[in-house]
Amino acid sequence: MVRVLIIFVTFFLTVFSLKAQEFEINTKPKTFKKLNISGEYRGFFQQRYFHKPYILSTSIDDTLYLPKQSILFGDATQLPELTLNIGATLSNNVAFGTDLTFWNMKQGTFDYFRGVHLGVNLYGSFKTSLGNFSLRTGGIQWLKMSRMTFKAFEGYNRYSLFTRNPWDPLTKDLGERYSQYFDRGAISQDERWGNQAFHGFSMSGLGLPNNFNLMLLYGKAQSSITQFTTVDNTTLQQSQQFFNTQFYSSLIPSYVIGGSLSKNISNHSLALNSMNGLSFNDTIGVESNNYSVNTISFQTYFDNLSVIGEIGYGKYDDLSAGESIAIKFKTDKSLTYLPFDVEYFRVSPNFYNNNSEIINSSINDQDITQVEGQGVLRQNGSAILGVGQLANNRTGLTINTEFQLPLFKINLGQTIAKEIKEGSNQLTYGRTINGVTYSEFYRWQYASNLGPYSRLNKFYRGVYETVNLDKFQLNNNLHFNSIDFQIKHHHKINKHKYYIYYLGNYNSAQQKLSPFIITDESALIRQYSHQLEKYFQYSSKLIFSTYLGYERVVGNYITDTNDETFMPRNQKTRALGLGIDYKLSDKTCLFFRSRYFSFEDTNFILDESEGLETTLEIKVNF
Amino acid sequence: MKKITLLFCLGLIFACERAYDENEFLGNSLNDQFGELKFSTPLSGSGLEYNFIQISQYNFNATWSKNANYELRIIGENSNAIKSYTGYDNSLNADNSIWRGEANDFPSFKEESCQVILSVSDLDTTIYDTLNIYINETKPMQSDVYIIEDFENIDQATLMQNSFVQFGANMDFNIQNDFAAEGQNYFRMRGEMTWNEWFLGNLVLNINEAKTLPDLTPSTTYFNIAVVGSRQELFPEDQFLEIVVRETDGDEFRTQIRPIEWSSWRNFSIPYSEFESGSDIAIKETNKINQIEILCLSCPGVVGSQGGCVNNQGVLVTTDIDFISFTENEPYQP
Amino acid sequence: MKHLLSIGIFLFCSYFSIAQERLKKVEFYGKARTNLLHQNLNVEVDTTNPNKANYGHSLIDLGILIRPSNSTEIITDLRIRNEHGGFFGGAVTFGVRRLTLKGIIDDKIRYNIGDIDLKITPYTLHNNSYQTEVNEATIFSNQRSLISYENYFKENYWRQQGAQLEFALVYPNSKLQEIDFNIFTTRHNTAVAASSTPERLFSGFSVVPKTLLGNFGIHTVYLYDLKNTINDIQLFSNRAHTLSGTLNKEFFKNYNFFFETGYSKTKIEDLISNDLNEIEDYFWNIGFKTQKFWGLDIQLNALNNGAYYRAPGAQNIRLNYLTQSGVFNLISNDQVQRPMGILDYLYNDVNYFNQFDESLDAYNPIFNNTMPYGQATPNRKGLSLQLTKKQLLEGLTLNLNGHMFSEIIGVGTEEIKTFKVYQSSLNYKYNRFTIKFGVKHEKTKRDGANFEKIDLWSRQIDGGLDIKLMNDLDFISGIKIHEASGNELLLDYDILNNPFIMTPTFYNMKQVLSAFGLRLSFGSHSTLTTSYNIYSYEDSNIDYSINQFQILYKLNF
Repeated sequence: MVRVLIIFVTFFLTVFSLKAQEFEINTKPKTFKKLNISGEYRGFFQQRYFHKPYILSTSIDDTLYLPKQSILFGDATQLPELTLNIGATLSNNVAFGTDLTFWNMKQGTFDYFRGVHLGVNLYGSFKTSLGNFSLRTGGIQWLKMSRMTFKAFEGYNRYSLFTRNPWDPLTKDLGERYSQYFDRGAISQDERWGNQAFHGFSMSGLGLPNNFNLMLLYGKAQSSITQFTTVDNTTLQQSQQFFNTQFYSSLIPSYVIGGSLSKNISNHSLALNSMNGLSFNDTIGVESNNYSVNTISFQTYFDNLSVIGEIGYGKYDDLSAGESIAIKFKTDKSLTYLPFDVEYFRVSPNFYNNNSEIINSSINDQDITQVEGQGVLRQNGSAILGVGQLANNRTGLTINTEFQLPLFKINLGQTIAKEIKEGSNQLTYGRTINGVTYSEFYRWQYASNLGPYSRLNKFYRGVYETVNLDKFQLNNNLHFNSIDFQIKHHHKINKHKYYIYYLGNYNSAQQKLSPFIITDESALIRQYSHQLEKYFQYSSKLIFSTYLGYERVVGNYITDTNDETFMPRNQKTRALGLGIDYKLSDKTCLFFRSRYFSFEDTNFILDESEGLETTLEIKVNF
Repeated sequence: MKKITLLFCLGLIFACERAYDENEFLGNSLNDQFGELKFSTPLSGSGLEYNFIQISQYNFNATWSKNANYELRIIGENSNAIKSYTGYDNSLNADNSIWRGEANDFPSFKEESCQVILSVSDLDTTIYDTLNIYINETKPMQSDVYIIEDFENIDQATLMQNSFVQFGANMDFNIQNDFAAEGQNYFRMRGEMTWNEWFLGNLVLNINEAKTLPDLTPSTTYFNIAVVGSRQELFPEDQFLEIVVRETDGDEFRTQIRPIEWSSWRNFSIPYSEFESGSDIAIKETNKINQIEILCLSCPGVVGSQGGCVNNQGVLVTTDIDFISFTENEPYQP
Repeated sequence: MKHLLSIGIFLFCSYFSIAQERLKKVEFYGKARTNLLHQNLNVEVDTTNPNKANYGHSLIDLGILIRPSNSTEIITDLRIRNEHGGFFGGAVTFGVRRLTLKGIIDDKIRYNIGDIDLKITPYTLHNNSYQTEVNEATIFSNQRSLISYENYFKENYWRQQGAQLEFALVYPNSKLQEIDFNIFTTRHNTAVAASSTPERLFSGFSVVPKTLLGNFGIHTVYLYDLKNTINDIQLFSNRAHTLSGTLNKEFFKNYNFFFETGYSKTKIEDLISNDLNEIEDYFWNIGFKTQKFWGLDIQLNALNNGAYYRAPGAQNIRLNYLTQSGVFNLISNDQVQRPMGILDYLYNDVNYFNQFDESLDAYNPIFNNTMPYGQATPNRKGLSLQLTKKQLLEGLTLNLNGHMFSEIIGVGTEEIKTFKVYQSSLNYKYNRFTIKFGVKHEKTKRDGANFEKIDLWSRQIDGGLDIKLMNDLDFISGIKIHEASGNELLLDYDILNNPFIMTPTFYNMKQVLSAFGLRLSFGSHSTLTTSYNIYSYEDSNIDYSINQFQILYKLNF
C-alpha cells in the first residue's frame, strides 16, 4: 500500500503545479456592517457602620444582630457593574438588541458574574396600506397601555433626589438633575419610568385608517410566575440547546394577553383597553387563577379644562365583576386662579390587576412568602399610600395644585380615601425616610416578616411595615388621608447656583371620614415625614448636597401594642446626609453620599438602629 | 475500446456475488424464538433391549423443529433409578445422549423395564415423546473402585467395635436392609439428642491391609458415599455428616455433607484433595489411609451453651449411609 | 464559558477598531429568534397530568467574523438565550456555538481548524436527510429549518471538530485536468477513563481526479480508537474505502453514468479476552441519468450493499426515535407514556443525533423501512427509478420515483424481506398560489411461516398551500398524514451491528398534523409566523390530540 502511494505521489508530483486557490470562504454568511454597542459602567462601593446594630431576629436563646460593619462592592439591586447594550439595525425594518452584564463582588476571587439584564429583544416593522406596524418579541420590553390595564405609577413627581437610583442617567451638565427638577418638576428618567416589564410578543399599529392606533400584547408580565430550574451555565449541554423546555420546571401556562385600540379625534383621544391574565394555582392546570380587565380611557382637552379618565370593570376568577373609575379634571390658572388637578376614583374590591397602577389591597392572590428571586414583593392588605396612588377596595378624591412665588415653587396635594368594604385586619405603610437603607439590610432577597417584631417586609428598594389591627375595636371601614407638600427654592450665591427642596408627606388612617389628616389618637396610624435637601453647585464639575430627613409614625391602641410596654408604635426616623457630585471627565462622574440614619420605636424598643452609611458611585456612560 | 475496457472493469466489480457461508442469516434464528415446536422424527433408541455387557454404550435419537430446551429421562420401573439428560438443541443424537447404563444417582438400574421420556420446551409450549426399553444386563462395575464398606457381609458387632453412640432417644445406629442404595444392606444413623449436644454418634471404619489403597493422586481420587435423610421428609434443621479420614502418620482430613435434606439416596463423590486439614504441613497420601470416621451431627432441639434449634425437638435425626468407596479418575457411577 | 467575558470585551474593543480601519477586520452576522408555544392536550380521562403548556425563548446567535489578514478568518458564534418569563437576567444562558479558523497558505492550500462541516459520498460520510417528510409544506419546513440549524444539519454535512486541508494539483493541457485533495482528521470523542471509553478519532481523505471524461474519486474514511489513552478494554476501528465516478455525456452519448463501489472492514479488539472480531464487506452502486426521452429527467440505478458493509458516518438516522419529549410526557390516568409523533418531531424536545457513532441506531419501520440508514443501508440490493418532469404545466414540476429493494441475506431466517417504495411529489406555482404535495407509500413483505411473515405498509402524505395575500404577507397552511398498518420485527444490534433481539411489533396507527398561519416577511430572510396546529394521534392503545399556537419570529442577518 505504501509503495503504491509512493509511486502515485512521485508520478504525479513530477508534473504537477498546485492550483491557486481563491480566498473565498464558501460558508461565509452575509455580514452586516454595524453593531452598536453602548452601555455604562457603574462602580458601587458602600460601607455601613452601626452604632446600634439592627436586630435581625430574636429568640429565647439568642438575639441575632447585623454585623456592626459591612462593606459592599457592587450593587445588590440587580444592577451590574458593566452593562453592554448590543444592538444592530439589520435593514430598515429589522433590528435586534440585547445586553451583556458583568459584575464582580470584588471578593478577591476574580470570579465574575455575567448575565443579561433586559434580555433579548427582536424588532420588526412593516408598512401596509392599513398603516405602519411595529412588533417586538422577547424581552424585557418596557411598555404601557393605560393606568388600569398595564402601566406603572408615576405619581406627582414628588421625591427626594439625594438618594441616587442605580439607573439614574448621567446628564451632560452635572447640575441638570437638580435644575430640571426645579424647572420642569421632574428629572430625566430612563425607559423604565412609568412602564411595566413585559416578555413575549407585542405589536403596535400606528396611523391606521380613521386615526386608529392599535396595541397587542401576548406574553408574560412580571406578575406571571414562571418556574425555572436552576440554570448552570458551566454544565449546560450545548448539544441540547434546542430543547425548548430544558430550563422550565413547570410548563403550566401563566401569561397575559391584552390590547388597546385607540382613536384620536383632533385633540381628544379615546381608547378601549383590555388586559387578561391567565394562570393556574395547581400543577396540572385545573384550578385557574384568571383575571380580566376591560376599560375605556379618554383624554379631552379644552381651552382651560382637560378631563382625563378611565372607566372599566375587572373580574377575578369567580368573583363578581368590579368597577373601576378614575376621572381627573385639570383646570388652567385662567379658570380657577390656581391650576387644579382633581381626581375622583373608585376601585371595586373585586377589581384586580397587578400589572396596573392599582395596588391590590383586598384580594389574597398569593402567599407573599412565595415570592423569590426575580419576583417583586407587593404590599398586600390595606395600605397607607401616597397622594394619587390607586388601590382596589378604595374610593376617594385627590386634589393637587401648585403655584409660584418669587424664587419659590410650591405644590401640594391631598388624597382623601376610604375603603369600600371592610378590609383585612392588617394595615401596611412604607417607611419613607431611609427606606433604601433598610432594604439593604436584606440584600439579594425579597423577604417578609423580618426584624425583631417580624413586622418588616422588603420590596425592591424599600421596606414596608405590617400593622395588625384589633378587629373587635374596629367599627367602621378604614379611611385614609394623605397630604404632600413641597417647596422648591432656587437662587445663586456669588454665581453659584443652589437648590433647596422640602418635601413633606403626611398620612393618617382612621375609622371616620375626615377632610384633613387626623392628628389625634383617633387615627390608627399617623405618619409624618419631612425631607429637606440642598444642592449647591460650586462649579460645573462639583456639587455639594446636604439632606435632612425626619419621620414620625404613631399608632393608637387598636394597633399592635408591645407586650412589655403595653403601648402602640411610636417611631422616630432620622436621617442626615452629605454628598458630593463630581464630574471626573466627560461622561464620567463620581457620586459620594454619606448618610447618618437612626430609627427608634420608644414602645418597641428592640426595633432600633443607628449608623452611618457611606456610598461611592462611579458612573461612566458610553 | 476505452468504453469497453471501463465497462469490463466495472463489470468485474459489479459481477461479484458474495457468499455468506458462515451464517445463513443474520442474527438469532426467528424459528428458535417464534417458530412452532414439534417433533420432526420421533424418539428412538439403538434397540429395545440393552445389554451393557455386550455393548458398552447406547444413544437415543429424535429431532424437533427448532432449538429448544430438552430433557430426556430414563426411569427404571422396578428400581426407580433415573438417568436424565438436558440441553438446548434441536435433536437428540450420539453427541448428547450417550448412555452407559448408569443412573444419575442411587438407586442404580437393575435388569428391568425402563420408560424413556423426552420433553422439549420453548417459552410457551412443551412437547413429549416416550419409549419403552428393557435392560438385559446392567452395566459392570467401573474399574478402579476401592470399596471401603458396603454393609453387605459384616455383622453389627464387628462394624460397631470402634464406634460410639450417644445417650439419647430412639437411638438407632444399625445395619438395615429395607431400602439400600446398593445391594441389600445399609447403615442407619438415627436418633434424637435430649440434651444440648450436636453429636449423636459415629461409625469408625478401620482399613485393614487388604483394603489399603495404592498411592493415588488426591485430586483424581474420589471419596464416595451414599447418603439419605428421613424418607418421610422430616428433616431437622442442620443435620449433617462429618467425614474424617486418618492416615497412618497421624494426619487427619475432614469434610462435611451439610445439611442433609433429601429423602432418596444420593451419591456424594468428593475429591480427596478437597478434604481439609487443620495443619498446614499435612500431606494427603492415599496409601496411608487407615481409618475413616463418619460422624452424625445435628443442631440440638434443646437450646443451651452450644446453641440449638427449638424446632428440632421431637424430630428424629436421620443420616443413613451406604456404599462407601474410593474411586480413581472419576466419581462412582451408580 | 469563562471566555465569555473576554469575548465580550474583545467585541467591545473591536467596535472601536472597526471605526478606525477601512478594511473590515471584524464583521458580524447571525441569527435571532423568538419562539413562543402554547399547547393544549386532549385525552380521555386524565385528571392527574398537566394538559396545558406555555413556554418559549428568545435568543441571539451573534456571529463574529474576524480577519487578521487577507487570508485568515476566525469565525465564532456566541449565543445569548433568554427563556420566556425570565425577567431581569433570570433563566439566561450563554453559549458558544462555533469556533473555526479558516485560511489559505500561500494562495495554494486551504485549511480549516475547529468546527468544520464535512461530507464526502453517500457511502463514506453523509448526513442522511429527514425521514418524516416527503415534500413538506412551507409552514412545516420553516420549523424544520430550526431543527437543522440547532443540530448543525446543513444539507448532508456533518459538523465535526478537527482540522481539514484542501488543495488541488493542476495539469494544464492534459486530459487529466486536475486532482483535488481533501484530508481531514476530527476528534470523535475524548477519552473517558470512568466509562472505559478510549479517545476516538475520525480521519479521511478524498482524491478526486477531474478529467475530460469525467470525475473519479478515491475516498477513505477511518473511525478508530487510539491506543493507550485509557487503560484499554476494547478498541474499535472501522475503515471504508470507495471508488466513485461520474462519466460525462461525451463518454456515452446522452447518458451520464455514475457509480460508487467500495469495501469496509470493522474490527473490535477485546484486550481482556484477547479476542479479535472482524467483519468486512463491499457494495456497489451504479446508474445513469438521461434526458433523452420525452423531455423527462430519468435516473435509474442499481445497488448492492453487503450486510457487513459499515461506514458509521454514512449509515445514520437524524432523529432519535427512542427519545421522549418532556411535554405531556405521561397521559391518561393510567400514566401511559405518550407515544411520540410528527408534532413532537417538529416542535417538541425530541433528540436528534448531531454526531454519528459506531452502532446502527434504532429506526422506525413505519417511517422508513427500506433504506433506514440512507443509501448505504447494509444488506440491501435493488433498483431505483426516478422520473422528473419540469414544466409539465407552467410552474408545475412532477416527480415520480419507485424503488424495489430486498435484503441480500435474511435476518433471523433464510427468508428475505422485499421492499417497495412509490413516491411522488408535486410543486405548482400559480399566480398567488403555491401548492406542494408529496406522498410516499412503502410496503415491506416477507413470506414464510407465520412467525417469519412480515406484511407492513406505511404512507406519508404532505400537502401545503401558500397564498400571497400582500407583498410581504402570506397565508400558509399544511397537512401531514402518516398511517401505518402491519407488523415488523424491531431489531437491537450488538456491537458488531448484528441484530440479536427481535421484537415482534404490530402497527395500526394514524396521525394527522394540520396547520395554518400567517407569515410576514421582513426583507429576504426574516419572518414572523403565527400559526395554529391541530394534531391527532390514534393507535390501538391510545388516542390523543394536541392543539398548538405558535409565534415564531426568525431574524437572519
